[in-house]
Parts: sequence; C-alpha cells; structure tokens
Amino acid sequence: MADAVETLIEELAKLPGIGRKTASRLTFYMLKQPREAASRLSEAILQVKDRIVFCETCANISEGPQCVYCRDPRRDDALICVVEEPSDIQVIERSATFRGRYHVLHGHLSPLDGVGPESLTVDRLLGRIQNGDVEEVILATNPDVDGEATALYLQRTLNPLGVRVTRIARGVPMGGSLEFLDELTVGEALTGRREL
Amino acid sequence: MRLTEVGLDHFRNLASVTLEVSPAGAVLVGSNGQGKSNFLEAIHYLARFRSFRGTRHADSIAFGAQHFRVEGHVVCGTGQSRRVAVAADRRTRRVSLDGQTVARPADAAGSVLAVLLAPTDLAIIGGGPDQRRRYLDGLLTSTSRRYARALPVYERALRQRNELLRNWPPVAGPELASWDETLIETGMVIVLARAVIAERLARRFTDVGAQVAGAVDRLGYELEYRPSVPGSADPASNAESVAASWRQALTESQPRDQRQGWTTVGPHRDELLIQLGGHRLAQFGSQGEQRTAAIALRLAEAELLESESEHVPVLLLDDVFSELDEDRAGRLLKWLGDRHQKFVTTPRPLPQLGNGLVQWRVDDGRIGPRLAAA
Repeated sequence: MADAVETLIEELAKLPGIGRKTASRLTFYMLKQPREAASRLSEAILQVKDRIVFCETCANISEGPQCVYCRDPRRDDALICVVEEPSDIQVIERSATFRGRYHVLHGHLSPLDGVGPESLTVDRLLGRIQNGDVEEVILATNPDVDGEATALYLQRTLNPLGVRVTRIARGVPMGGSLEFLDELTVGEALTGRREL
Repeated sequence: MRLTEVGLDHFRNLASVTLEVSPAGAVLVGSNGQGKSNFLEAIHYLARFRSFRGTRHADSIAFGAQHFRVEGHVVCGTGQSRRVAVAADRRTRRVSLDGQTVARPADAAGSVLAVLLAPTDLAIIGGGPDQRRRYLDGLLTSTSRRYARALPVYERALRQRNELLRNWPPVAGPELASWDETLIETGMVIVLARAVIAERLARRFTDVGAQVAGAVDRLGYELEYRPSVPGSADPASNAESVAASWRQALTESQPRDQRQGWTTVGPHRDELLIQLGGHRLAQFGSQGEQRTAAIALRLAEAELLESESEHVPVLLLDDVFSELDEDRAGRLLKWLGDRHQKFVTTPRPLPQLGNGLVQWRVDDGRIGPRLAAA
C-alpha cells in the first residue's frame, strides 16, 4: 500500500475506540473527498491543540484565560459543581438544569496510580471558596470506588470552610421500572429516599 | 434432581458421545489422564457454566476443534424435565435452556445443581485463612448478587488505602479516611453475608463430620466464623451501630496500619475457624481428619443448597474414596445413601459401591463399556 495511506491509517488507529479496520475505512473515505474537506479537518485538529488552554478559574477547557461558563454573567456564583473531567460538563449542560459555575478536578484520587489531592485542582477549588461568595458545592464525581473516595475527601476538606457540601443522588433512573432494577440500585434508592 | 442423559461434543479429551445415565449415577474407572475428571468438569459446566479448574472456556475445547458443547437432560423431584446446554467457541459462551439461548447465564442458574468434592478441597481445611475466605467468597458470589457486587468494590478500596499506607508518612489523615466509608459500606455487606452462611453451614458440618468419622473422632467437628471487626457480624444490631463500630475499629487500628503499611482490620482478615475437639484442623489435624472435614464441608454445602432450592443436588466425587481409609469410605457411602445422584471417579473399581451405580471404564477419552457389576 502507498506509504501516505499507510501512515494515515496508523495515525488514526492510535485514536481511542478506533481499530485498524475503521482507520482504513476513514482513510479511504478521505481519499475520495475534495482537498478542502481534508484541509478543514486537519486545520480543526491543529486549532484544538493551538487555541485550547485550561481556564484559569475552573480548569475547564477554554479558548482564553476564562472558559465560557466562567465568563457568563448570568450564571450563579454561589453554586459550584465539581466534576472529574471537562467532558462531564457537557453532560450536565445537556441536562439544562444547572446554572451555577463548574470546577474540573482532572481526575480522581487513586493512590495506585499515584494520584493524590496535589495532582488534582483541589487547592484551586479551596482558593475559590475562600475568596468568593460560594454557598454550595455540588460533588458530581463518578459514583464508583475512586469517585466516592474523592467526594468524601472533598467533603471533609470543604466542611471547615462553612460551605454547604452536597452529593449528586444515586438510584432509580427516569423511565425505569422497579421490576427490572437490580437489588443494589433499589437499595441505594431506598437509602437515599426523600420527603415529598 | 437427576440427570437422565449427558451429551458431549469436543469437550477436552473426551470423545463425542451421548450417554444415558442411571438415576443412581455412575462410577468412572480409569487410570490417570484418561478423562474421568473431565467428565465431572462437563457436568459441573451444566451447573455453573464455567470450569471448576478456573480455566478459560477456550481451554475446554478439544485440540483441533473450534467449539465444545455439553448438554444434559435433567429431571427434578417434581417430575419436571429440562434440557440445559453450554456451548463455547474461542470467543463466546452460550447457555441454553430447552433449546432457547438465554440472554444472561444467571437466568438459567439453578437448572442443574451440583456439588463437587475434589482432592483440592483439602487446601480449604489445611491451608491458610485466605483459603477459607476464598471458599466463602466463591460460595457467596455464586448465590448473592449483592455480595458479588460488594466484594470487588471492597477490594479496590482496600488496595487504594493500602497503597496510601505503604507510602506513609507523606500522606495526610483525611485522604486515608476518604476510603474508609466505602470499606465500611461494602464490608458490612460482606461480613453479614458470611456470618449468615457460616451459621447455616455450621450445624450441618458438625452432623456430617460425626457421621463420616464415626467413632474414630469422638470429638466434634466445628465451624465458626470469626470476623476481624468486633461486633460486625451481629445480624440483630442496626446498621448505624455496626457502622459505628467499624469506624471505631478503623480509627483504633490506624497507628498500627501506619506502622505496618497496610490495613490490618476488615473482612480481608476474617477467619473461618474449622476445628476438631477445640483444635484448629489447619494446624493440628491429621490428613485423615482434614479429609473428613473437607468432605463434611462440601456435603454441608450440598444440604444448604438443597434447603434453599428444594432440589437434591447431584454429587460429583472426584477421586474422594481412594484417599480415605476403608472405614471412613464405607461410612461416607452409607451416609450418602441413594438420595443423591452421584458421579464418582476412581482409579480402581470400588467393591463397596453396590447400590445401582453403573461402572464405566474411561480409556483415552472414550467412556466405554461397563465392567461386570460389582
């Protein structure tokens, strides 16, 4: 096979979720496209690397010193939602239920991977709370072992600062039927029940 | 519950065959390496959908073949009959019930109930406490989804916490404590389940032990669960107070944990004490006593399974009799009676096995003609 084709296949196959088969499909698709299409794609990839930095306030991805959520004057300064990754913000934004600010940790506590609080943006979060008028911090780390430990760590660290700390709920999904849920999820939902 | 027919295709070294099975079961006679245990493994596949050897499904495929298939026709006490089959190629395994592939193997669980007694069981009695914990984990993981979920979560949190302790002192207290709540939450599930099953095994274990040992060991066989966290195994106390005693135990052990570099309390330190006349069999038991205890434990498990499912499980006895002296072997057979369908492997024909058991010769993977009834 031509070297140029082989090179592109190899590069694409390095991407997450893309195997050699898909990589070669994408490559032959690009071969059939006009030159401008290829140029737009390669330019877009370069722009991501050249223009995107991390927000100085919340560590989200951003095109300037401040990300779109930190710049938005209509958002509530009293509320901060803490997430593990920038991609988690996209999920919460799509729900269109949260109008506060964000804070991205860039990971979770995991001693086995050598990740402690100092490797996350915890200090910066503490600074934001000490200097601002934050009333509530919502911990939206993943509900797995490491995410839970990270949430507990943050809760203990933030409590002395006199701010309200909450954790996203676990339990029965919308549109779900109890009949088809496993007993662990139902147990969680019962433990985390609320007054109506 | 009894198998009436067993079909094999490309399973390990066994020749493809369909065998009619007598209600009493069968004795498989043959030298080592001929395939006797492979036949028991095939039946075990029908019960648990995986190998008792802990190997991958692909390892059970005969050399040169692309897949294996095991099928069993089973009739339970109520007269209802079912057809269970397990097939696997190098990538996937399929379980089917009466010709219909089931979406999740769990949906077909319990269609065949089987308990295996094997020489390797000796390690449960004679080995370290980790062997007995692994035994409880295996038993509970296959019977409780809640347990099966809690165990890996507990183990992950434990590894994370131990990693922090190993690198002590640079790490601060709050970071260590952040793993504690997960340990407590999942640890409580683990300990309570272990306590309940140990309690239910204990009486049966003592009964069976006495029957098999006869007058030889006049002192009783006993089984007792000793949780590492004090007060964590009392099903009567409420969750809040149990969690509180866990928190206290973890706090109290913290200086020691820091010194030693790992978490020193919790279910990963539990012991399932197995004793004869007040002495631990792991340290003080003779080979014969340990073997008797191993058999009693598996048979107690079979009774437990029966009381929960209301079906009499099939017994798979892998080379069990050759290790026992004649008295014990005789008493074991008498105790077993003909309540269970039995599949027995042995290098030599067993003269004591008179009661309707068909003897099969296993030779180079062929399960062959019957010997003259002994």
